[in-house]
Amino acid sequence: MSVRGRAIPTPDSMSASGFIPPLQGFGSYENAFGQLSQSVPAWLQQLRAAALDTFRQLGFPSQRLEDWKYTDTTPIAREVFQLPRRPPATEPRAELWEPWVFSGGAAMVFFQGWPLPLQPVAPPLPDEVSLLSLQDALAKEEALVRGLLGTSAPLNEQSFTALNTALLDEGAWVRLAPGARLATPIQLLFVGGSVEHPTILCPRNFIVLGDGAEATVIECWIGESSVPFLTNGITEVVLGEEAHLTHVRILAEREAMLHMGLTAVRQSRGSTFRSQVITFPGQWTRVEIHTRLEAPAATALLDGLFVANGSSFVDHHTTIDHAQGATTSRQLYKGVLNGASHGVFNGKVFVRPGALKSDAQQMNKNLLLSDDAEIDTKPQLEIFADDVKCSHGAAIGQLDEEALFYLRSRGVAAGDARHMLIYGFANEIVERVPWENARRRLRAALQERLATAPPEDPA
Amino acid sequence: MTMAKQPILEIRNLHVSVNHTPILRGIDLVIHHGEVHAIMGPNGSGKSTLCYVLAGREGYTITEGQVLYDGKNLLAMSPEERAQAGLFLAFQYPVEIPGVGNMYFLRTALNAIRKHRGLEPIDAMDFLQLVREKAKLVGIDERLLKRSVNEGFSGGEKKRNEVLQMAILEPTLAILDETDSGLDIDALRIVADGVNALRNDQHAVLAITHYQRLLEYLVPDYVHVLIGGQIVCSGGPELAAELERRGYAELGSQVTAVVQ
Ligand SMILES: Nc1ncnc2c1ncn2[C@@H]1O[C@H](COP(=O)(O)OP(=O)(O)OP(=O)(O)O)[C@@H](O)[C@H]1O
Ligand SMILES: [Mg+2]
Repeated sequence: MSVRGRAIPTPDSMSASGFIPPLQGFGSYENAFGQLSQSVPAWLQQLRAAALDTFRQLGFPSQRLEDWKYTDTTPIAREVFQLPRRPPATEPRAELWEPWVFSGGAAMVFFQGWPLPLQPVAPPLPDEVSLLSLQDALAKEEALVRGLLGTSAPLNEQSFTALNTALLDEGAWVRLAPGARLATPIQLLFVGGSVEHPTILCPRNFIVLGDGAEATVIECWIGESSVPFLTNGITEVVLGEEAHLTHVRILAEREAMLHMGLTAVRQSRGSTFRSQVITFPGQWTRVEIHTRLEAPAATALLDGLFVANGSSFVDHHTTIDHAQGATTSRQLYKGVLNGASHGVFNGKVFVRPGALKSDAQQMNKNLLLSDDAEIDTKPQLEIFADDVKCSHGAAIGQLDEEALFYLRSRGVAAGDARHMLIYGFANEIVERVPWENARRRLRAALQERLATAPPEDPA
Repeated sequence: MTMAKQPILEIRNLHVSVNHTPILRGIDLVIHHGEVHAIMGPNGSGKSTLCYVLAGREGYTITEGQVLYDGKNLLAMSPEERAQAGLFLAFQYPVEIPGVGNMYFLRTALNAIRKHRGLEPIDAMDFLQLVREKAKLVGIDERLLKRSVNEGFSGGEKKRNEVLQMAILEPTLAILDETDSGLDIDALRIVADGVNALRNDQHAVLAITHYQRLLEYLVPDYVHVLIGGQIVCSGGPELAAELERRGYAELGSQVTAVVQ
């Protein structure tokens, strides 16, 4: 199918009225900024200050912005956040995070955004791989950090990006030299929660693959909190020519956890970005994946799953920018919404003028399991080139009656059959994660969140 | 002296409509334990409709008649109750269920049926053993079973998977809806072997087919011809051979002539 699109919206179509200031003023953000460690390079301190200015001009996005139409930022704008103590005042309970370290490869664990000094659980990484905290990277590879910071996630009119940059202190730095290949995933685990005051955290991660490098990086964001705990995190990804990254982003939060997550990617010729986003949200979550296919033969494969209960709000925004021709993207996002949860999916595919022979497919499927659950889905194709192959679609539905009958005709009781199908619907995405230990953990999380019978597989 | 057992299936004057359109128009069919029946008939004559009605699919209106399964009112039972009572339908078009593992599905089904028979759930190792053995029997690659139910299976693999399920669940009444269509000659023999394995005085089979080929391996006790929602004639295996020679059209007109 070939579709001609509308004009690309220009950034200045966003008027200042599309934003709301923090309800209690900017003071708490200025205080937080003042508390950051100053022992960083001068250029970084200047960047932070400029970002704070941008944030002060903007505030938080309001629902008058098209991109935020279904997403109310009030749960964030109304809070007075503080930064967590440096180093943290407590330690995370091991039983909270240990189940989430499963790769058997190199892992970095952050508690309240602070790297924990853990024994390396894995054999040491080869020389051509750096796995460092951001502060260590600034000490060892400052020029590289400086050259990359903000190139994938530019500091412009995006309020959350500006805020992240203004309060930037720690994160993970993953860099593979050209040709380096890792067979075992690298794991980045972020444990939040356990605070007494409403807390904000702005981690900034980097995943940089040189030409021909190959890696799997599994990011896990977990935590529970009775007081609002906002993670406003960014992962910047840069893929060299023929570099292949599998990026698994798992979020399993509870209660008053608030999460704004952005993964911003730039892809060179022949590179592959395989993204798997699996979200079990707390109170409020928005995950954005933006990738720019900057050269021919670049491929983006985006899978997503969100499973929400209670009164959770969960929003996934993807943007795939076919900036050059002969690029490919595939997208399948699935949502399961129960209770009075509210889900949003917005997938944008841009095919720029001249990006001939682009090939894009996008699909969003949702299951609503209760009358009070709600989904707003908006797949969006904006095509400005001829000779392209693009398709998109969205479905909101109940369970497949044919499949239900098939299971029942084999003796499976109606209720169990229903559970199997709900589980199967979600599990289709889990099964795409290319690491069995991760899949096992995710299946258990799925069972727990869907409250289904254990589908352990005897095979 | 042995008492004549009651039939496993007894269909009496069954009329079925879909959206107010009559599809089945007075079916009578009695199947006893130990018997193999074949139904042949042109496309659209109502063969799958009959199968689905027997298995309990929704969307059909029974306007007249009754169906007894082992003496009980089949039409009042849910699909899972029918399966638990030993009825099995091999689908003409098996359904793909992404995300649901084949093995998990099979084990859940088997345990539901075992529970109904008053048996303990099958042990994981025993189950694996059973599946291995039956998979070999029906010639299905074990690796296929690690995938989701029927997902990405070829047409023939789906049919074999139906036969595998039948072999594992050991139904009392197996209904095969064109299980032979789309199968290569080896697979055809496997289907026949699967059916023949069930051939004893405990089991019965109703096989829908378009081809005499299957019936050569599966020599049925009775062949019925279904045209326009009615069984227009019944006979022994020789009827299938005759149909092969003369086609339905001639038979149909002949029967119409007789009725008139
Ligand atoms: N859900 C339905 N809605 C409308 N018509 C239906 C429905 N199901 C079946 N029919 C019609 O009933 C008739 C019988 O269909 P059925 O599938 O039972 O035929 P069949 O004998 O199995 O054919 P085939 O040999 O092609 O498999 C057909 O005319 C079909 O179009
Ligand atoms: Mg049919």
